[in-house]
Amino acid sequence: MSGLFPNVYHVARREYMTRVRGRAFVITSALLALAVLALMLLPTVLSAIGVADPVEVAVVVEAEDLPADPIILLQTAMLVGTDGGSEDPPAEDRGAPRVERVDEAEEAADAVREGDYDALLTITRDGDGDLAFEFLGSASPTNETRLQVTQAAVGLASLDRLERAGVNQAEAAEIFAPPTFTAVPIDPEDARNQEDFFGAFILSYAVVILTFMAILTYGNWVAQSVAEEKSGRVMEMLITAATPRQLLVGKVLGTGAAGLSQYLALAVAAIVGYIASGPISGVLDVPVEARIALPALGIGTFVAFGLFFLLGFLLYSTLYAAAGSMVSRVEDAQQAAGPSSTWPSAATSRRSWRSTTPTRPGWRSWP
Amino acid sequence: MTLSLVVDSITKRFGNVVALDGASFTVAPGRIFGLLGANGAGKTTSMRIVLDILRADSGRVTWQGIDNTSLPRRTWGYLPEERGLYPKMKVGEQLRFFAALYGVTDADARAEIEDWLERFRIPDYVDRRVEELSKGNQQKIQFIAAILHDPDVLIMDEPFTGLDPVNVRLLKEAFLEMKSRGKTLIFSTHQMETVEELCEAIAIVDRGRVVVSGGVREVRRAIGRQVVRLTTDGDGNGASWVEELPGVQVTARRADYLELSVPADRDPTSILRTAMERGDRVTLFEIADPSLEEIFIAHVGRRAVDESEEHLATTGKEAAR
Repeated sequence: MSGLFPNVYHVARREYMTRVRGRAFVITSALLALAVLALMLLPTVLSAIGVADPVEVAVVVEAEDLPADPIILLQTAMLVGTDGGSEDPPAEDRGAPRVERVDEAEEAADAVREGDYDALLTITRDGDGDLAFEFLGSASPTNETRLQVTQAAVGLASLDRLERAGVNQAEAAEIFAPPTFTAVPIDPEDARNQEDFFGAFILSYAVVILTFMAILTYGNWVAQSVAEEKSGRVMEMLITAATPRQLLVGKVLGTGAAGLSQYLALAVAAIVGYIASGPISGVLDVPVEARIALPALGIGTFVAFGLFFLLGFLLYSTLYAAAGSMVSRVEDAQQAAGPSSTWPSAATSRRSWRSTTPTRPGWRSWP
Repeated sequence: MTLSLVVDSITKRFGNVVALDGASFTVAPGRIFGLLGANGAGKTTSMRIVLDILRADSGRVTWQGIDNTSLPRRTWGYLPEERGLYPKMKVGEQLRFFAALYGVTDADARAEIEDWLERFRIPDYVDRRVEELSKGNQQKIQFIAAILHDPDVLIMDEPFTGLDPVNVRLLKEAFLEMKSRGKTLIFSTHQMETVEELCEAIAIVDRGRVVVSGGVREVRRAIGRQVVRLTTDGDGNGASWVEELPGVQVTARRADYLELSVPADRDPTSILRTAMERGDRVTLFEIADPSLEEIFIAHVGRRAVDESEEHLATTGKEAAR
């Protein structure tokens, strides 16, 4: 068996040059880079045009003898839902949600319909004396404002029932005080604090999605390229000049390099977008915090990502190449590559699940 | 004959189809060798096995005594029937790529490419994409791709198919140039006139078996018949008396002569004597070896190209023009 080089280099170079010079590659890369740039600037722009304005909820209290101020209760519930309930939210600057007590229900309802308020909560008592709530706003069950208001309503109703049952506020507070709860990690050395967890969470998702996308897109390139050569007689010319192993490795490396070049263009677009969002925030007079936040990740993390990405890509591209070699027409390449896509899909599902539990022992194991 | 290319009893099956059934032939070094056969006879499979693109189920192939699976790849130059190039790549870039795979340096490749493009009268095509070239010019580029690394043996699958007469002539000249450099050339075809003109030795393949092989002269003589072309004014072109001569067959009635097949053991001049004795005026009497077409029919039982294929080939030539 002759060595891999220099033929791997020649095959990879041809594959790379053919790929990156192709009109489809240039157009796709440019469009994707523009999309990434737009995505990075989106929060700043949305903030500037007011889409990201803080939530405003109007409250009409028709019920009497409430155990607690519903405005404070709602405000607290919605703050917990946005910034963790820090104690000194300068609401105007930070975009914290606002809860406002109003007297005229009809006027407030009109204001909601016209978009001045996001929602209107009306608190009444039903025939049994129990608190009843009416929420006018987004009907979506997953609407964040609706969920937070519902949570606050449940709390208020519970306090009200307790008070009517003869339990005073101090006793109620004692009942609802959180218990002592200590989480002990299985592997103490693997324990992460909140920041570590966030970084690991973001990274594992990024690795999964980027690798999966690369495998599907660039793996199909490999399958298609092999099928193209086979459908003509170029493969016969190539196989007379180089070994199958040289051709396979060269093709996978060349296509992989083209894919990485496209990713690099996207990374550059993302960095440009991130840097530009600062000055653009200044020009548009919106807070700099409105831009996308990046987790603080070390260089080692990026190296690990690169390694996983490379290994995953090489493994699956080889499968795609094998799939491409089994068909005689380019049109059949995608179909033949179908089973090859099952493996990365299955591995991605598994890794997605694992990425939600990053302190689980062995979460780093492959795939 | 250890220096020769020896194809020894190779058999190849694809599922239930027997593509090659114990095929054997020998090609002496420095010769031009023709592999003749109809479509599907097993010519391309034989070539692929020689090139080690396919492995035979049984039998072996050796060149200069070495098994073909152990030979360096640059021993062979290969010209597939068609579409053996990347259509979107530029000519020069593509040729340098193939040369590089065989270990030819970029400088050497550039010089050779320039020389061959000049020889083929297409020096300006170096920066053109292959898909922009005519079929004939693409075939020239494929030929250059096959020889840039200076192989010992050049194997070509139907190299003349679809070419116009000018390109056929240029390619034939290139063949002779390679032969003068001491290279061994093997090509498959079903165009007998090309074989007659170029080949020193042939093998006729039919249904996966080599029915006859050897030097062209020996193959012609081994058929055991001679060809006589005769024109007399005694009996018009009918010359029906000829058919009554023992062993003599009329194989063709042309406008101005009769073509006769005469057994090897019969002196053909006896026909001339008979005509003169009859008092006929003989205006043409010619003794020739049987044509390769006749040899092919004698061995295979039909022509190498049937009429529909011939029509397609002609249409292809016209289109190429």
